[in-house]
Amino acid sequence: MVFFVPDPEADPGQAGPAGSVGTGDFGSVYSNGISVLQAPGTAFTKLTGLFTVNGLTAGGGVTPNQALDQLVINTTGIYSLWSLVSAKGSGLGIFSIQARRNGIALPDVAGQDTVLTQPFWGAARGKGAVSLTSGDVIEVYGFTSAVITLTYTDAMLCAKRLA
Amino acid sequence: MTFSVPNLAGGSPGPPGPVGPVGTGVYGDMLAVFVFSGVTQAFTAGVPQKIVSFGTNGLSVGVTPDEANDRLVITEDGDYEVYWQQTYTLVAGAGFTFDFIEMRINGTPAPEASLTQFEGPIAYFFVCASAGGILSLSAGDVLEIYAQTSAGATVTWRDAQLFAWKARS
Repeated sequence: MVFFVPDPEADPGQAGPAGSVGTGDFGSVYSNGISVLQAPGTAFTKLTGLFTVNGLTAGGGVTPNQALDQLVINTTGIYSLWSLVSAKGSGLGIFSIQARRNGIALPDVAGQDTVLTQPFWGAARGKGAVSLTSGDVIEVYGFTSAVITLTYTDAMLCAKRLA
Repeated sequence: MTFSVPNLAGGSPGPPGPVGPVGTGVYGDMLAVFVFSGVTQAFTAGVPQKIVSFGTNGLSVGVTPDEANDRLVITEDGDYEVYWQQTYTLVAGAGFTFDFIEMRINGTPAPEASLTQFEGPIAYFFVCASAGGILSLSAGDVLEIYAQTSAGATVTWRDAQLFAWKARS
């Protein structure tokens, strides 16, 4: 007859529990149905008057500030960043946008579209994963290929921490 | 006969177990990709209509895609990242615009993920409209995309996606 005795030192612990959806860590600003004019010119400049509403936030990692057209990052990490600006133009032009971190380009989050008068209204948008640091200010910059006046109609800027 | 004697003093605890698997996400999407032909939809000026462009249920867990009814149904409360995209071309009509292309939750517009006054196409030109945001949703909520044109028009939907991904419980 043989007796086997468990040896706790040889037995690893049980696997940890599966991860969950989590508590989230995100923030956003947006507008819908605005009519804000700006002539950003042919070199990148900050787009202003884009946002009228501070959107949902959770986790404290992102502070939306629609009054300053920006998001402020409070938690260092990798973020999914999404932006869209919809506009009509006073004349024909290519409208380009680019998210910027403290004024420095984030080319991962950029896009272009052609704009003109009715009915050729367009939207430039971009989405990407970027590394951000606590204190970073995220804003949307843009320019047009010709000197025209844009009328912004809708805009979105969302940051959601991935890691 | 062999006897193994228990260590009555007991061993030290074993090492921690491996990290658990990544959590089961909650998401769902619908899509339709048409190369040379798609769904054609006629609009009457000033009359909102649900866009009926979807043709395939995509991957999903905890969100129910329902391409037959062109909608997503939420089955868990939470905050969701949502996104939609519609690419379209002109069939009939000229000089019209979309008064809006918007996401609706149970029939109510969600301004976080909607466009106003968007481009109407002309012949041979493709147009891509999209929007997205973060919304607080409840189990049973129905997500659909609606549009309204400034004049009578018919468009063909070429590509379409509608996506919801849970960001917080």
